[in-house]
Amino acid sequence: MALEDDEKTVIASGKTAKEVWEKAQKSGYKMPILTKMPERLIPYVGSGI
Amino acid sequence: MRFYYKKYGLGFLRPVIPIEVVYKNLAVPYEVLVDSGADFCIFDAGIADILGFDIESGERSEVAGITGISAPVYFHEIVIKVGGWPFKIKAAFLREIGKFGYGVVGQNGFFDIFTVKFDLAKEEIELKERRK
Repeated sequence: MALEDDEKTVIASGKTAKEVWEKAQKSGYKMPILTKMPERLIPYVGSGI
Repeated sequence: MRFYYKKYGLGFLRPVIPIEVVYKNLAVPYEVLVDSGADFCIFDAGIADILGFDIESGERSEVAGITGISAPVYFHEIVIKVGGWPFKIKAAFLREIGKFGYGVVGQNGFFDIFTVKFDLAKEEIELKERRK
């Protein structure tokens, strides 16, 4: 998803980074912060690929 | 430089910080997990898609996480901006970052640039650039 500078407010969401980026650009946000939200909040250890 | 742990829900504080991934004239702000257990920096291939380069054109390697499953990654020379300051690094790009996975900054490309102090009680992460 894409966030505002406060790192909290969600601007856009989607399945891929590019989709989210393009949605945010269309909404007028030129430099949104891209992040990945865990689908579920469970403990995280290491890179869970 | 000081950053703050990010809070997820009610119970999880994680050292996730904003950086920028830069390639040529484009920059993408991106939140990454500061992961001392990662050998190098690994970013979502989707970031490369935005920046306009083909990840598979980079040097191929493999990574494995705690589950033991391995996946291909591709290295590229890029710039990351941390606190607005640019650093040239070699980062890996991964097509299949898992459902719970973050982009990570690890030993090579981050911990070799900064000394990192984690202070969970204060919810702070302090970075000091090493003297060259």
